[in-house]
Amino acid sequence: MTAWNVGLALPEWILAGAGLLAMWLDARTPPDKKDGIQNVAWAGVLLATLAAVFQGVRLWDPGDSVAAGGGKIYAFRGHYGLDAFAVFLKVLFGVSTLLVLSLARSWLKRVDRGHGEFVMLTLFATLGMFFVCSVEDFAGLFVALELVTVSFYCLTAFKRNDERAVEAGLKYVVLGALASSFLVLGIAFVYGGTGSLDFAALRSDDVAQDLAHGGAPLLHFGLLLVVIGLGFKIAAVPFHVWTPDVYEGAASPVTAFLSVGSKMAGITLLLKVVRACLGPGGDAGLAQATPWILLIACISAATLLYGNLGALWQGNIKRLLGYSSIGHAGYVLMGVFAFDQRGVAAILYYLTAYLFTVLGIFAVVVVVSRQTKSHSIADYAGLARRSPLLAFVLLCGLLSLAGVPPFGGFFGKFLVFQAVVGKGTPTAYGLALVGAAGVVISLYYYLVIVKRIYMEEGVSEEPIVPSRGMKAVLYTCLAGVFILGIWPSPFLELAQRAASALSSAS
Amino acid sequence: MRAIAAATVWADNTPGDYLPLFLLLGLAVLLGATQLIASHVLGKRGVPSPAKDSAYECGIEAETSAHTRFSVKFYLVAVLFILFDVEVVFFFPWAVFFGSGDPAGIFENRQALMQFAFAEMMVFLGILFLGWYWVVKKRALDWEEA
Repeated sequence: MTAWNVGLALPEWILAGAGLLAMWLDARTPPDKKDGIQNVAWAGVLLATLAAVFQGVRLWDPGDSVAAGGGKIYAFRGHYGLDAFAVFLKVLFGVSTLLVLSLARSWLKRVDRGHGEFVMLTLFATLGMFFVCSVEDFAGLFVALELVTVSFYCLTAFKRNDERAVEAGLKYVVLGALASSFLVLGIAFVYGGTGSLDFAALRSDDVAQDLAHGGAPLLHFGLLLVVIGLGFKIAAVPFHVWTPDVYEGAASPVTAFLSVGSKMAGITLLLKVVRACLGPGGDAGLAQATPWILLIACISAATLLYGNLGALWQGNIKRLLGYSSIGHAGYVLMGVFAFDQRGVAAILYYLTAYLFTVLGIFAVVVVVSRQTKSHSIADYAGLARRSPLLAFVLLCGLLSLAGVPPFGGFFGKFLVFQAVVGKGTPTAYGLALVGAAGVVISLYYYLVIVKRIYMEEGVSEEPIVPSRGMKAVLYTCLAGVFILGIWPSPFLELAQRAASALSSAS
Repeated sequence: MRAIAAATVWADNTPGDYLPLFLLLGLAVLLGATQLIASHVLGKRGVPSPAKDSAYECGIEAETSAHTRFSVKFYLVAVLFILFDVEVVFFFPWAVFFGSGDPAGIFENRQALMQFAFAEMMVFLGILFLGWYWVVKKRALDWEEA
């Protein structure tokens, strides 16, 4: 715990270096020669992801000295921890950033300025996401989360001449600042309750007793505020108000990154904090505190219903995806509600499938809106004839979001429901019922879009041809969605190992 | 180790330790409420008078409408000023920690502390100066240029 072990943060060093290099290059190159910066960013994120994979291989090798020591290594004197859980999520963040950068490449060609800034902000946001996976105390939590969020404030208002983008950016920054102040106040109260900023301080037997039986009211209050702050980031009801407006106003690649990266960062931190509140063995603390169980169940149920019901009336595809993203936060919270290893594994699998599904759909949105100059769902009519590939990716993506086999989203939902029903309490059954209702509602609005694409006549028959880079993104996401649905076992095993690393974290 | 000892002391705290905070909160609420209620009771609302329409105390009489547009450059320079100003605040805890000679005993010896502090400040300054270089190159500080 006392070693510096600076080299352990290799992926972060690479990302920070790439971000600063991009800044240096951006300052030095003329406005029309910014493609090199995008290559630097791509290479940087790829290298960082590979470094994370390499660390994961070492962590999971049972013969390795690291795995023998409990599967978790610390750096920076215990303020930075690396285990299978962190590595799993870092790879997810790396893959999603690579896909977003590829998505943005063709989109940036239509933007006349700010290419360097876009790349820099994306890199710094990714750096924040990587740190999010490894933080071991509340100070680190706040700094890492703000690194992600502040980058996203700027990215949201990136199209500074577009009124709606600026409006979205302003709404996001005002509500985000409010949520951050809740988070900081919560951290202050938790510090007051435990006397330490370390997550480890929450994990003691005494604190677990307090949490389970309602002792230490200020600690409870602090944790409540922390949950509110993180609930904002993952767009859980009632902290969701910003979501549809920001999703609609921001540029499509930014919305894609926001719905995958920012949400996953919030979920990662929520899981880490909740795990710390479950006592040394992982089955005490909040897992025995009925009010907390009910609270998470209520937030989850409200999020499920609000997201899915709100999506019913949307005519704009990005707004619809915003509401659907609220709904998906509800499914993830169902996994949190389980308060056990199975729930965490289900969430990790869910996020993996969600990443490919959502980025595939946003790739379609970027390509289609480029030609039609519209985000209206009505303009997707007859897409199947204009581009069979785009229509098929959208079909698979929407069905995967709805949770229809054989797509990845089905398996994620299945695992989440399994984890919840496995609890066997009346609350769990109730929550599972609400979740099932959400699935049924979501099927309706997803299938309405499918009907438009395949069965309705469009205004135009002009074919839409995605660029080569976009095709690569589309095929990657399609492959991800199918593989995760048909051949889940290797990925499920990885998710389970990551979940057990989080559970046993000492 | 001393940090951990302090932590155990803190862990024994009670809500009573927050009494000064609650007193402060009570005073703040009281102050605000008194002013609101006093102005409500004492103030002659709806009765115009020359004193009410005049600029408050040291204010200057308005000559034109305040709703005019002014250059966005003011905001840019102000934001950059705040950014660099706030970054410099980081020097203070750094200097205090450096000067206090590591009272919590985080480092093995004085040399380890100095090495770390020096490396950290160099990294920080490197990033700060890269940001400054970027700002200059982006011509954000050129007032004349459009």
